[in-house]
Amino acid sequence: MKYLLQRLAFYAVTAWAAITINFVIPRLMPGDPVQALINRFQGQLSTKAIDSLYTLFGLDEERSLWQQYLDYWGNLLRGDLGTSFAFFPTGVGDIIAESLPWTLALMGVTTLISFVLGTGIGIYAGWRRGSWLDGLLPVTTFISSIPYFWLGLLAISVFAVQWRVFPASGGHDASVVPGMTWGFISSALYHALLPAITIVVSAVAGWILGMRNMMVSVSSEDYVLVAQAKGLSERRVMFSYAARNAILPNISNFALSLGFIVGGTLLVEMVFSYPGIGYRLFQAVGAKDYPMMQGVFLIITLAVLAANLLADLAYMALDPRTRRES
Amino acid sequence: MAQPTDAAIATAEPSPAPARRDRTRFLRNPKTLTGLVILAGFVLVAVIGPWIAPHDPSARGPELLQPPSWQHPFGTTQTGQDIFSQILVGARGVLVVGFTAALIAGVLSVVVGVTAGYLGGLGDDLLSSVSNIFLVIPGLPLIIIIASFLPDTGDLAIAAIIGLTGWAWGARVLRAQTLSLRNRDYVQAAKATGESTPRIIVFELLPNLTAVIASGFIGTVIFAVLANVTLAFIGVADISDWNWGTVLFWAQSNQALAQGAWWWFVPAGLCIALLGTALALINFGIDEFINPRLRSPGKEDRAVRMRIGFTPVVRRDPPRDAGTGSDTAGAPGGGTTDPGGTTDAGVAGNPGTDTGKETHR
Amino acid sequence: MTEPVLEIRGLDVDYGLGDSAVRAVRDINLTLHRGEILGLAGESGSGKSTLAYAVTRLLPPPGVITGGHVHYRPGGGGPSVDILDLDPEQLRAFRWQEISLVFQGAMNSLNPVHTVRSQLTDVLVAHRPGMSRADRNNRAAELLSLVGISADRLGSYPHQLSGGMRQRVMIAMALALEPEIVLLDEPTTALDVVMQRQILRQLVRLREELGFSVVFITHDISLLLEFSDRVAVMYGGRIVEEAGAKEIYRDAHHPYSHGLLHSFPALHGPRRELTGIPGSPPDLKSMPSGCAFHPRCPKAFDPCGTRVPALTPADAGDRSVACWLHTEHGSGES
Repeated sequence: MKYLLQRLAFYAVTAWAAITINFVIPRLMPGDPVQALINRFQGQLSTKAIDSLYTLFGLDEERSLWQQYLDYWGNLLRGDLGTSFAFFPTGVGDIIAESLPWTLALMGVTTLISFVLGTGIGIYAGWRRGSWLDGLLPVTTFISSIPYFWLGLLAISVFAVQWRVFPASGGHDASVVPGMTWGFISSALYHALLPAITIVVSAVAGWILGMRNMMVSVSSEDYVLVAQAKGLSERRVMFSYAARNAILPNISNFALSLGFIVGGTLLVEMVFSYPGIGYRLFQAVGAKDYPMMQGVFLIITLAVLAANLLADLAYMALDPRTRRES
Repeated sequence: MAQPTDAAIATAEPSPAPARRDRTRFLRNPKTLTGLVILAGFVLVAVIGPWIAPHDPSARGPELLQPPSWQHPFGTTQTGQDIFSQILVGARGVLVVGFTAALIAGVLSVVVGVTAGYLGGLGDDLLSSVSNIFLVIPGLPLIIIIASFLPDTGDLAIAAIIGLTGWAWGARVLRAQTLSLRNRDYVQAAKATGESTPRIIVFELLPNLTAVIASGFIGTVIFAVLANVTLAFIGVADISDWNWGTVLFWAQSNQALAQGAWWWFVPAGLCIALLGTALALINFGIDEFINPRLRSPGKEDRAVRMRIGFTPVVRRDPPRDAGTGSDTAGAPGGGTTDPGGTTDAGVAGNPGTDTGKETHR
Repeated sequence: MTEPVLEIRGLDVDYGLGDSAVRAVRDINLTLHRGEILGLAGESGSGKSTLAYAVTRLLPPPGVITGGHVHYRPGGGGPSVDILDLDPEQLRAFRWQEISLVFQGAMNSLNPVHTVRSQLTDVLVAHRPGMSRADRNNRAAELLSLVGISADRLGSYPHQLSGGMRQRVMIAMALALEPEIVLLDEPTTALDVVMQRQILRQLVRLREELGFSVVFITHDISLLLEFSDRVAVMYGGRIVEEAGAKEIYRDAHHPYSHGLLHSFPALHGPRRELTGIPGSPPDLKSMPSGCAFHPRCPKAFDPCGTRVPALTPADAGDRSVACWLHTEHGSGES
C-alpha cells in the first residue's frame, strides 16, 4: 500500500510538472510571437482568437503571472483546453475527444502485442543463448534503429502503392458512417492493420533485446541453479524461476519506455494520416495551432501517466516484495 | 523511435570493474568493431560530404524525378535535385545535432546522476524525482512543443532542446551505479582519509563509471539523431538546412510515395537505420564489456552447448584405461576394491558419446 | 569402513574451451562412503566448489568437464551410474532424488517471487508425480518442522525470513526427497558463529536419523575439522592430502595442509603456534610447474619444481598425500 501511495504521489507531482511546463513554455518565448502570428495569418484571425493568443503567451498586461497561472488551472479543471486556431472556433477539447479513441485503440493494442510478443521471444532467446536465436540479434538491432515513421513510409509504398492490398491513409472508408456497425468496425480494422503492423515490427525488436538480456542475467542467479539442481522440468525452471524474475525489470522498463513508444506511434499516425491525436499534432504543428499542440501534449502526458500506473499495479501484483513490508 | 535498449538494468547489479581492466577486449569485440567502422564512415562523410557532393543539393536540374542512375546514384527529386548530394550534405547536420545533444545530456546526466547517487538522502530524493519526471513525460511531444514555440530552429537550437530534455535516462542509470560504488571499500577508504567530496567523485567514482557514461552517451546520440530527423520530417526544424529528415520532409510533402519514387525516401531512412545500428552495436560492446554474461558465445564455444545447469562433458584425452594411471594413485580408501573395473570399461568402449548427448540435441 | 556411495575418478574440469581454457580442477580421485561427512578444505580458488558443482554437472558456463568419471552407487546394491554419462532427462530425474545441495549464500538461493511452500513442493511435483496436493503440503510442513521452523511460515516469501531461517529452509528442501548424498557448499558463511554451529549440529543430528552422506565444503577449517569424519585438502585444483579429520589435525603430512591447519586459532585443545602460509594462492591461468605449492612451500626441494607428485597412500594406506616428502621419487607425472 505504501508503495502504491508513493507512486500515486509521484504521478501527481509529474502531472503538475507537465501542466506547469505547458504553462511556462509560451511565456518564455522571446519577442512578440503574437504579432508574428497575426502577420502570418494575414488578418484571418478573429479578435477573440487574438485575445486568446495574448492570454496564451502571457502578454496580457492586466494580470499578474500568478493570476494567469490560477486562471490556467481554473480552465483546465473545467475541461477547457482553449480554442483551436486551425479549426476555429472548435474547442481543443472537442477535437481531442474525437481523436483520442483512435489513438488509444491503435496504441494500446499494438503496445500490448509487441510487449507480449517481444517478451516471449526474448525469454526463449535468452534461455537458449548460443542457439540460432542469437542470429536474430543483429536483425532486431537493425530494425529497432529504423525510425517508426520511415518504416511506415516503406510499408505504404510496398503494400498500399505497389500492391494495393492496404489503404494508404485514413482511419476508415469514407463511405461508411462511424458507428457501432459491422461495416464501420471492419473498415476501421482494415485501415488500422498496416499502421499496427508497422508499430509492432518497430517496437517488438526493443522488447526482444531487453528481455533477452534480462533472461541472460537472471539465468545465472543462484535460485535458477538451485531450480536446476532440484531436477525441475525445463518449463518450470525457465518460466517460473528465470522468466518470472526477469520480467520484473522489464515491466519497469516498459513504464519508462512508454514515452518513447508514444512518440513513435504518434509519428506513424502522421504518416498514415490516421485520425488520432498524433495526426492532429502534425496538423497543429503545420498550422502553428498552439492551443492544439499544448492540448495534445497534455493529454498524451496524462495518458502515459495512466499507463505507468497500470504498469505499477502489474508490478505490484508480480513482485511480493512490494506488497508487504517484511 | 527506438526505446533505449540500455545497459541500465543489466549493469545495475554486476560489479563495475575496478578500474584497471583489459581495455583492448572492448575493441576486439566484433560488434564494437563493426559499429565503430560504420560510425567512422559516417563521421568522414559528415566532414567531407559538402566537398565531395557532386551537385549542389538545392540546385534544381532538368532531370525530374529520375530513378537512380550513374549521374544521380540516388535519383532526383521532383525539381531535379540530386538526392545523393542531399544525403552527403545532410550527414553533417545529423551528426552535429546528435553529438551536441548527447554532450549536453551527458554532462547533465553525470552531474545529476552522480550527485544524487553520492549524496543520498534528501538531495537524492529530490534529484531522482526530477529525473523520473523527465523520464515519464513523453520526450518527443515535449520537444515538438518547445521547438515549435521557438523562433529559431537551427541545428544548435534543436540540439539544445534535445539535450536539455533527454538527460534523464542516463542520470537514472548513473545514479544506480554510483549508489553501488559508494559503499565500496576504496571509496570508503578515500572518505576516511579525508579526501574532499569533489575529489572522490572525480578520481574515485568517475573512472569506474566511464563505461556507463559512454553507454548513456551513445544511447542519447541514437535518441537525438532520431528526434532531430523526426523534427525535420514533420517540419518543425528549419527545413532550409539539409539533413536526412529534411529529405524525407520534401519526399513526403511532394507525394513521393504516391508517385512511386521510392529512391526519394529509401536512402535517407537506410542511412538513419545504419547509423542507429552502428551506435547500438557499439553500445552492445560496452554492455558486454560491463557485463560479460551478456556476451554471445564465440565460435569455438559454439561447438559445445553451454547451458546453465547442464555442464557439458567433453572428454579431451583419449579415455584412460580403467584402473591404470591416476586410479592406482588415488583410491583414497586404501584397502577398498578397485572401483574402476566394471563401469569404466563400459564407458571406455564408446568414447565421445557423452559429448554427443549435450552437443547434438 | 563402509561401502562407497560416490566415487570420483580422474576428474578434470576446465573453464572455457580451446586455447583460452583454464584448468580449474585436475585429476581428482575421491571416494565418499555411505553415511560419512567428507570435508573439502582449501583456500578460495583451490577448486573445491568447482569440484562439487562439476560432480553434479551444475557448473555454470564456461565450466566444462574434460575428463574422468563420477560413479554413483545407490543403496541396496543397484547398478552404479556415471553421472557424467547421463543425458539431461536422466540427470533431471537423478538430481535431488540422489544428490541434493545446499548452496553458498542462501540469500540468493530462494526464488524471491515464490512462497516457501511453492519452492518446497515443486520438488515433489517434479519427482513424485503421484502425490496429492494435500500430501505435498503436509510433507512441506513436516520438512520445515524437521529444521525447527513452524508450519505457518509456509506462506512466507523469502524476503520475510531471516538469514538463518532461509538457510534452514534450504536444508529442509535438500532433505525433501531423502537423498543419499547432501552437498553443502559454504552453507553457513553468511551467518553468525552461534547460528553456524546450531545449524550444523542440527544437520549432523538429521544425518544420524536419515542416514545420508555429506560432502561439506567450507573455508572455515575449525568448522570443517569439528564436523567432518574425513578431510580432503585441495590446492591449485588438485587434492594434496586426504585423511581422517583427527589424523590430519594431529599430524598433517602435506606442508600446505599443515599451514592451512595452523592459520587459525584452535577452539579446543592445546594452544598452538599460528604460522599461516606466506604468499598467495596460485593463479589458475599460470600454474607453477611441478607441485603447485612449491613456490610457497617452506620444505621445497629439487623434484618439487619440476614434477607433479601423485596422490599416494601413506601410513599403511588409510590416508594419502601428494608430496615429494612422502613419496618415492620417480612415481608421479612430469
